Amino acid sequence: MNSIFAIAILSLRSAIRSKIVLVLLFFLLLTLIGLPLSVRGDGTLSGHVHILLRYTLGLATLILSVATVWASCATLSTEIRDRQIQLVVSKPVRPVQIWLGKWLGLAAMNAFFLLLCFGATYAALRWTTQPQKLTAEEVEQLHTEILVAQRKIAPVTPDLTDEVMRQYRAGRARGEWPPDMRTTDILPRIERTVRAHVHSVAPGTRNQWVFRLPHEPPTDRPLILRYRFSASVLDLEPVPATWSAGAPDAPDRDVTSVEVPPRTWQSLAIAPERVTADGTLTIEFANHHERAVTVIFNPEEGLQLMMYAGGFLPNYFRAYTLLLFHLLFLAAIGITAGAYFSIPVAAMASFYALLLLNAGRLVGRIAERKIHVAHHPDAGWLEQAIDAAAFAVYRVLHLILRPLEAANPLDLVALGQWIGWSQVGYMLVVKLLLYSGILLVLGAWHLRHKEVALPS
Amino acid sequence: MIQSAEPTNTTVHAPVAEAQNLVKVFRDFWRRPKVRAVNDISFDVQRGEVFGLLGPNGSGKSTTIKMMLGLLHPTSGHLRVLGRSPRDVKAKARVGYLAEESYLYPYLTSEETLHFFGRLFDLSAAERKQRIEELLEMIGLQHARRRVVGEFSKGMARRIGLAQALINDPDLVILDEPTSGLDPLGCRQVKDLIRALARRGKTVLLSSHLLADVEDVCDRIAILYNGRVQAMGSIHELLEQRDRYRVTLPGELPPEQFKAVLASIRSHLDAEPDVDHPRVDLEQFFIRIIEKARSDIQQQSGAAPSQTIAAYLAQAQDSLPPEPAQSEHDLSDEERRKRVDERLRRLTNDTPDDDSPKS
Repeated sequence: MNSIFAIAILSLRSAIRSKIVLVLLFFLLLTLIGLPLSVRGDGTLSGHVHILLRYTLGLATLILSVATVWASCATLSTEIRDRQIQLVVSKPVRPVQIWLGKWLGLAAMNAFFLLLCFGATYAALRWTTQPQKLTAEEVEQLHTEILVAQRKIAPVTPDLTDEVMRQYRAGRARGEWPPDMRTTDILPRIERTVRAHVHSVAPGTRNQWVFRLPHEPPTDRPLILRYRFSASVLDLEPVPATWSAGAPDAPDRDVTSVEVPPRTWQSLAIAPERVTADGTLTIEFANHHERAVTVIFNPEEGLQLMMYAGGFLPNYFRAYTLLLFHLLFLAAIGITAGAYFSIPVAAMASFYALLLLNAGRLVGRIAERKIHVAHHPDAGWLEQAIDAAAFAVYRVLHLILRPLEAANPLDLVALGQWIGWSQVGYMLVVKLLLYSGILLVLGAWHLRHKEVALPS
Repeated sequence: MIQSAEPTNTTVHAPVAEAQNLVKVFRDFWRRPKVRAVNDISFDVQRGEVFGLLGPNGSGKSTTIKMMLGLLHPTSGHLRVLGRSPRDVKAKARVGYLAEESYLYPYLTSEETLHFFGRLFDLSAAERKQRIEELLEMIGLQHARRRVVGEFSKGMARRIGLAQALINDPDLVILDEPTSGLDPLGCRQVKDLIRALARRGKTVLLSSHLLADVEDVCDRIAILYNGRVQAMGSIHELLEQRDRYRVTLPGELPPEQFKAVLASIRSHLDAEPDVDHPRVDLEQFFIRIIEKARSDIQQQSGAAPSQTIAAYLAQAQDSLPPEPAQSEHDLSDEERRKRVDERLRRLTNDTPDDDSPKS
């Protein structure tokens, strides 16, 4: 352990004395102070919170990510290039200890800088949302929707299989689809249409959704329905509508009339008493638009029921932990790349890995053939072979990237959404123990077999 | 290849380092052989001896040393250090290494550098502190303990490099060009240190292309050229010209007697002998001058003069090998007489009398 700590302290000294820390501190402070002052929100409280938590802290985290990748690539490859590693390797130090020492040094640096960013942002948030600066309504919103951690519940999706298959057969019969088009390409399209239909409300009609709550809601806090819809015409005029909450046959349903513009996030407080004994809540939307304007809720995100789950600060801390894990994972990528390659190559490889990590969802959609990128079925054998190889690569990438997919913790915190300890534990196991562990093995194995004194 | 029969300090111990048919081929990116830096060399280094690898640049000295440290891997052949693979951390724990360049972290101070390497050897804080004090005093850089190594002259950095090589009190000290970049005083100190280490049972392997350095301190040497051992043996055996004699008189002879001695030699050899005055070498002369000047001037910067060897390095050890021969200048008349007799016996292949004292 002595060796590991010695190398960790060395990494920190290197960072401090080579002015990396100072430069990083300058850019972080510039971001944390400059961005909120220079960017104007939409004037709402939630917009202001978004600027602070999502954009300011997000940019600071991005700067930290880039700095981490660069510093981690440089930490080993510079020593190999400048040959200081020869003195270290000639001492009784195992490659694993060298790797871990470098990683721990970067971990300490990242933990400090991230804490600084989170601390400064929290201070700015509390200072700018003092009660005397807000209206009573905003104070209420702050405490019920923003400075809280709420569990997000999506509406129950009805089984659409029968309807999708019915439309598929009908479409085939009508010759809507080209004969050589594959069923696997047609069915997702039909499913998207049917799903959109389930989440749309034509003028003069109403639609219902059911939410199944994981447990009984707290009685002293309302449930919050967050919603956003788009209109079937390019019109930003407010849509008059009525929300009803409670069992359809219940006499005491809450009915609220609203008039809200499309494409804006809205929220509606619902009394917890509207949840039935079996833990379900039914809501209904009636579209009262006089013209032919259909309202379409995004099937993925358009309707969210938020249930209070805990306080803001513990949630904020969990977001910090998740981001720290991410930075430490990036550090692991960089150190291992630095063990294999020179700085420019290692940095290029690491940034490519960073891009792939961010493109995990896209890779997944291609691998699952939700995005059609293949050649036409009539293409020649070479094109078919390239397609097959490309899909194989995407599938492997998807297999690697899927366990790392997760919502951005800053998005969740900015929306007041709950981050569970299970998420933190999962990322601890996957990102730190499993993936970083694999990178540790790869890096240490290479260091063990690398000849560090080869003539240049 | 010229090879002498036995190392000077041969003991019953296993060799501290042993290479057999060692080959190192450097390859290019496509794994094609590029350079055969070490070509089938074999040698062993015994405990307590100072072994020198001598050769011109590119002869394979540093490559051999780097293989002994696990920094390069032999292409073929057998290499053991302290009875283990050179890549074994247990072997590395007993080895001290001074690289041909300093390769130190330029942003660390002298003290931090030594603490860092001390921690790599898992030394306790108290032990590190004590050793660092002694080492800094030994290398004369106590006044520069808080200066970063990046600001140092090559000689000062070299001294820190030497100190880090000794922080673990190693059994085997590997010094690659140890006097490179040092002033004559520094060279002298390093050579004294090497001798002191050897006297305390440490094994020293050094490489150099400075012949005087090697001759001054090494018990045995291997001369490398083009990756091969060209000659190996004890300095004495390799350099001795067995068909020539040199007699140094301890004082002046009256001219008549001197002429008589010369005439006698001429009549026996039927040749003209060379006659000259013995002279000190330039290094000895230089040191004498500097030491005289030093008594007048207190040095303010650079490496301070130091005569000490770190106490922990100078501590007596059990089962030490016999003390190596002292310099002729340090001997009493009686000892010198014994040595001359012994040398004469060897030169004339004479068997000593049973009752004669053994040297």
